[in-house]
Amino acid sequence: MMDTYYLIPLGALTAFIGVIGGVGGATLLVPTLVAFGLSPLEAAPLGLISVAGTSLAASLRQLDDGLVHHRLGLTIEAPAAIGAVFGALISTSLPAVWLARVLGFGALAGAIATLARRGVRNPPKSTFVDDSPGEWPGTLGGTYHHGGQSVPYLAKRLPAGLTVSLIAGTISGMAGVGGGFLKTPAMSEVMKVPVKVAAATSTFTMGITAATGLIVFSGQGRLAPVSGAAVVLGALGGALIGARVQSRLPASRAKTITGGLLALIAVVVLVQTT
Amino acid sequence: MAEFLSAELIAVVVLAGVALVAQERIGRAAGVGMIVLLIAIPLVRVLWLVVRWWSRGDRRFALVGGFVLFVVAVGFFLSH
Repeated sequence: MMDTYYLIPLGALTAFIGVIGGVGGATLLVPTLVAFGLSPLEAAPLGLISVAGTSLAASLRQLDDGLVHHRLGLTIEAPAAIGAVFGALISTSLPAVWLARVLGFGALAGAIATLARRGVRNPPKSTFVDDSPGEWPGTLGGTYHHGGQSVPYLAKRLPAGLTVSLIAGTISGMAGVGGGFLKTPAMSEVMKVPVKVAAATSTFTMGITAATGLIVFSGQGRLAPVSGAAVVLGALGGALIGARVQSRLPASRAKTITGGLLALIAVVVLVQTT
Repeated sequence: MAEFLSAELIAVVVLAGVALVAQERIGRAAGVGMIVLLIAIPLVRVLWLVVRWWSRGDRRFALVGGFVLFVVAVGFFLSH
């Protein structure tokens, strides 16, 4: 087991880079821990603890901005929670090398999703200027503010979004990563939800997925509370600084840095498993 | 909800700090408490949404939220 105190700067650094690139810290943290020699079974709970902590911290700001679509979030969380339970339950029966490969391919998918991500899709409409931002009750639609105007949106292709969410939840339960690198592009590119709403809603759902996975891990006796505390403290600090730097850094550079690092870690983890 | 989340975030940070600096038994207890909070907070948030939507007549989404909590409960019973 890695010395607990090394987990603070590692948690901080991975959360810092993960927040800048919009993929979350655990997508970097867990493969890095595995690359440093920690078993995937030990690294996964630390990853989900990091996800739960950063999801909580991010939710405060996102609630104020009215960006989280809770109805959409819980709709796509239903299959993700099923996947998280399934993934966490079977993870102890799988060889460590398979888990490491899932992690490696997950990081690779995260790299591709980060580098291929596009900007704002939905145009503002002047007829919605007076609408307050938020979700429309009883629907998977809503409005959000962009450039002083309200942008209306309605989630499309729900079955495809639910399928991707099931896969994201399963990877999350097996490998301990947040799954935002799949959920956010699924909502923005497949379901045509604005990127900012997709990212905020994804962060909300990741906290629930992490809680679900952690419940199963606790039953398996896989939680390390003190190491988890070190990861949470580091991740919260890193995410806080990362959020401030993110607003000043050009989006294209942030994407390149994070996508490049994820690809590098994916290659290291996958090479270790061959 | 924002005030509740702020208070819980502070509690998580305090418990994490205690877990790292305190003696073994107290440190471990604080770490366990931190993890319990991290698990409970999103689930309480879902429960709050379910109750709110149900009382306002948005029953379809209240049932979706209830199903998520049911899946979490199944995960608990299968793993313990």
